[in-house]
Amino acid sequence: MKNAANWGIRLIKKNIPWVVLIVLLVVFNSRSANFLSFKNIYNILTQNAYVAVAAIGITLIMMTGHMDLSIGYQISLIGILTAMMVVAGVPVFLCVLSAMLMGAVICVINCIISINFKIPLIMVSLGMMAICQGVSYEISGAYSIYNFPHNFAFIGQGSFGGVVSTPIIIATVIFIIMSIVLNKTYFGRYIYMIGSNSDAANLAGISVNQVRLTISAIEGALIGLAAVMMISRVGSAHSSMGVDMGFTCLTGIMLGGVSIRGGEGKLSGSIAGILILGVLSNGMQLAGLGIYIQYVVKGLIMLFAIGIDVYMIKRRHSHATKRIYETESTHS
Amino acid sequence: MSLLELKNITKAFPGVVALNNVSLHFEPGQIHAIMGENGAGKSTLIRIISGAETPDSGTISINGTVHTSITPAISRAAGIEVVYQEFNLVPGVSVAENVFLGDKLGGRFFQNFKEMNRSTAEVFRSFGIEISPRQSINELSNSHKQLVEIAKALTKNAKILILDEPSSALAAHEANILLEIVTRLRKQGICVIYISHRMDEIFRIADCISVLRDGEYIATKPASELTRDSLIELMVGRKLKETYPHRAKMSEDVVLDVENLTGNGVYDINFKLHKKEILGIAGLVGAGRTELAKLIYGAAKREKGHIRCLGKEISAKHPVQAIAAGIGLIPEDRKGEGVFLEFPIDWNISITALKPLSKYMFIDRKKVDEVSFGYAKKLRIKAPDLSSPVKTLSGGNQQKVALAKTLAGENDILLFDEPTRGIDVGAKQEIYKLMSELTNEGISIVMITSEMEELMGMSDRIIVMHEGRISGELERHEFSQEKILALASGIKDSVKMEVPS
Repeated sequence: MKNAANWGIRLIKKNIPWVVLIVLLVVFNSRSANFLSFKNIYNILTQNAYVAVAAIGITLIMMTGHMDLSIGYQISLIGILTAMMVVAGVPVFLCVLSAMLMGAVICVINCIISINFKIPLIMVSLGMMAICQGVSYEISGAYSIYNFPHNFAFIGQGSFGGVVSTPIIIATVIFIIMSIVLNKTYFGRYIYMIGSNSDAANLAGISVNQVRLTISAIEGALIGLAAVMMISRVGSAHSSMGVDMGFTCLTGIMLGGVSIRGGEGKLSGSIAGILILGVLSNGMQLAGLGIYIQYVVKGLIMLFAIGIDVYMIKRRHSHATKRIYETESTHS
Repeated sequence: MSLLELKNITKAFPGVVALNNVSLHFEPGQIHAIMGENGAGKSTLIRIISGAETPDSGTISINGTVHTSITPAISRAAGIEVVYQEFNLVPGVSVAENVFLGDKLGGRFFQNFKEMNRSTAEVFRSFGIEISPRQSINELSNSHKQLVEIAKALTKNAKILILDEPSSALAAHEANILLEIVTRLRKQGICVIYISHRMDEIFRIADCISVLRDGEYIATKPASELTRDSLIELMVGRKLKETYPHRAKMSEDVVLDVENLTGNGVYDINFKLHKKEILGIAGLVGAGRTELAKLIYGAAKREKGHIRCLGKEISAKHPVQAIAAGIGLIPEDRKGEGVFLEFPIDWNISITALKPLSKYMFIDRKKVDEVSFGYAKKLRIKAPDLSSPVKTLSGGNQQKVALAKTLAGENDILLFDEPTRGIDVGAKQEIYKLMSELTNEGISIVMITSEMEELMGMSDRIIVMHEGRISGELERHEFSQEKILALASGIKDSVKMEVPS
């Protein structure tokens, strides 16, 4: 009995983001009767599927202790370019492929600059963000691009028998693949180790730079995919679209327990974090809160997530030194 | 009455007594050198005088006022200023602003730059040195930066100036300027506490010399009564007390041949490592030993030279290549570079060998478990189970994990940087035993250590480094603490006399 209780407590401790998500669902459901309806849940999942895809990519970067701020405008730029290709009649699978390639190229460039000039990725990506923004608006002339063919719309709007939408399927497949990579392969182990201690990883014979480049390519490909899913879902592309997604992703990932210092976290945590934000914004909409107030709430949540993260780092740190001290003093 | 008097100061850290019952006094107008090997307690002494560390017992009296412990503020107020080895300057701002860093000159809102520049210029004029107060700090040479540090201390009305290895970053002619200024300060009645490994400097300027050894106070003598040899004797005069395991004889086969290796702050390194040998590398802090190990391991950029491992030339641009060639490194900074504290023991042990332990990228859990358990058992790592994080282990066991991690890479050559730093006596003996077991199995070891006892007890041969170069090599029958320290301090003449040709 006690064992079962302990096991339960550990399960909760390991999955706090999911517990928070469930609590939120219950709270919102008590305020509005049809919150937990099939349709609303289906909507929330579908709406956030593309955010989750991008977040999975960025989680890898954050696990190595780096931060990419260019996500939002990368999505904007890739969205515009892909939309132009789609409208020009390029086959859909080629459009998807090229979107993923564009993302990979941008992220790898970020990473190469960061490695070669020893600039933190966060600063490089800030520059890249402005570049992507400029190019995106320059190309689109701030006009919307629409009239996508029907088969393109399937990526973002389609569903299988009305039970499960294409975006949910895509996000689930990506999640499963990346979870396996992270937890079952040596490459995934390398990502954690680099995040925990990049110097030690290098001395242990891990080609830290190679790993960083590879995950940058993966990150970019997933951002490209997310951009395609987004424009397909909305049915049009505009340079202002997807811009605040970078912020949403980073907040969600931190809520999900990935430390800004790297070396820890779980993909499932990031998904939970994204869903928490999705449920919150859905709930706030149902409660009739305006979009601007929602920004304020999201900002507060981000600060809260960072605060928790820093607190946990500090606590763990003092804990660790104390324990080492104790074991050593018992020896002498 | 002394300017500063320390009485029966004792300070212990977990596992080590840094200072044991040390009494010293300092007088105005005196250059007082403090000498001792690595780990003799010099740094702790400075930290106590500057108030950064509280002694466990003993008293500090400043101008007759007795304190049991002092804070940095009390130390400052009494006119004690420390100039540390590393520069504490703000890059990009002017010399004068650095000199007056933290001091307010002028009104409530505005700095009085004119006054600042004027008094800075005055200080440098008293040094007999031409440095413009308006110059940016970045434009200065190292020696001038050092002088700015000293000027900074003097404008705070220093009565006691502590210089910690002030010349280590300076070239010979730059050091001369520094020494001249230090002698000028003596004339002004300032007490200079001078810490340096460079004996020629000490004998040129010091009035008296105090020696510490393993945290014990040994002696204070007027410099005129000491010679280099007698000073070295005071510094090392301990009896070897630990026992070291007996080892099989090394073979004549050369496994590692380093030729003219230059880069990362070391120059023209030549040595050969034989199979089953333990080659000790001695030297003072900053002599370039760790830098050499990193260079061989490919973790730093090589400028020129060759490394041949088992007859094969290796490029070693990255540790990956060194590991593939059979070289492993156990780094000096265990927590920073040796282990991943947050992760389980088995993750740590298997990381170097993870690729060969995987099939199509997938980690083979069974193989990983086998390897981890194997090494944990072989190295007698004491842990409840291998899934507990490394940070929960004691220092000795952490070091064993770092060793296991390197061994799992199946290397023939191990570069062992400070193998027993920060671990207790029992764990030390275990590490020694492991090292001898490993060499018996055919592994060859390069051991960098600052501990004279283990250096002489474990090594088959010793290479001594001084300022980035090899200053001498000793065979087992030539080992003596005096010779090693003389070579490490860069004194060649006295050694020539002693070494039989």
